[in-house]
Amino acid sequence: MLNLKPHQLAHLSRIFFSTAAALWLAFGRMLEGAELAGESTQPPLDAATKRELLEITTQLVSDWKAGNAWRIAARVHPRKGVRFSAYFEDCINPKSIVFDCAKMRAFWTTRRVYTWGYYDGSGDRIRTTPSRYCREWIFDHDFSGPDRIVMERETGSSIDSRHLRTAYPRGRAVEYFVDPTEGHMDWAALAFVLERYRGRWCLVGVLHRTWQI
Amino acid sequence: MLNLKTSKPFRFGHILLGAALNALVWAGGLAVAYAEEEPKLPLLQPAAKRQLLAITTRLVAAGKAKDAVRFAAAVHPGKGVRISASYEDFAKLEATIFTPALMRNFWKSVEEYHWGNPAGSGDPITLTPAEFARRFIFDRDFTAPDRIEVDRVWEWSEHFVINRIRAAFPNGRWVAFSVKGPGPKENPEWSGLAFVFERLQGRWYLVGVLHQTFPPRAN
Repeated sequence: MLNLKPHQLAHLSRIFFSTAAALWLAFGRMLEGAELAGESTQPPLDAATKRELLEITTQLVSDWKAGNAWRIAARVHPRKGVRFSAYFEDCINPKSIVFDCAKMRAFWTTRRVYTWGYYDGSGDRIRTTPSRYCREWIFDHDFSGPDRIVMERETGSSIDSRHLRTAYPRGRAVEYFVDPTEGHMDWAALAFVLERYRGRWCLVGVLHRTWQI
Repeated sequence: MLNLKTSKPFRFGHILLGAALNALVWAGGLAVAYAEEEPKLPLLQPAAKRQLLAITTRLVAAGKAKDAVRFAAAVHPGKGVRISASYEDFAKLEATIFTPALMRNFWKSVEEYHWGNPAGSGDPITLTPAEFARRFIFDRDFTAPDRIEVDRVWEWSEHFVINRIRAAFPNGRWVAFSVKGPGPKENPEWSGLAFVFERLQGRWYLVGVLHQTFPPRAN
């Protein structure tokens, strides 16, 4: 058959493996692209629902700004509670912190220290009181005057990421985005995830996003 | 076919070369992406953005309800409001300007105006204000937008559009609403509505309304 010298065999194997690697990469990218381009699992929202969501989240933003715990607690999902994520990716962490309505009501009055997640650079635990967490990880920018409000689950957008879709398959997110000032990486985004429960939109997630290492 | 005897041993040089070329292309792309025109105006404070957002939300609701009186109350008393569905005409005199008094009759007026030439066909639009608003301005339900952008590079961010707005209103601040997805009937895939404001005596007044779609509408 094929009489190959060792160096020829080596050459052939290099060709074979490099081609295989290239194909593997291309195939992976293709899958990734297909996943990104894939239809969202949910149907597009109708106008009335979008308007309702926008009104609810506008109210939520001003409530978070004013520290109006009772109003927020009234909006929290009665069964699931609200999950806080210091970074968007944290939402798939099953151990991440969930507040029920009662805890939410005491958000600005309690002095209890909770673990909210981990700093993405050092990996240290984020351990603070709720009011401090709000100051540093939820309302660190004034989201009541945002640069951008994003409602749609558009392809590749942050609120249609795999993480969010995995963590809240039936949730709808509204993202408030504050653009960076010139020459800084100080942009921030705050997303509220709402789910319908007994005909009412309830808050199930508060996600924060900044520049990460 | 591959001649094994004469072919050279495999080298990684060309991979490095390819990587270098790729890096060059990427760097070029990034350079183009970052070579955006810097905003000449100072950034808005959150309070101002909040005000603009609130005003625009009310305006959109008024537009949907055809409430010309509420709409007229927001119009700049000196300059009026420039309404256009064509960014090309936006900075020109061709675009129709409505003073608050004219604006109060916007949905009642039977007079036909020339609204400029839209990007789709270039044919001049001659319609009554109500018909024009129905077909070109509030062609979607902007009270339920997919995206709202406040005085920043927006979704439909072709820079010439922003430059046209800047050319028309050097001190203008805008809020842009956009709705995505195919609309009913002949509506295009994407529709955006921008409201341009200027500050006068501590209040924000409407000076411009610019509408745009993709693909551009012809008539």
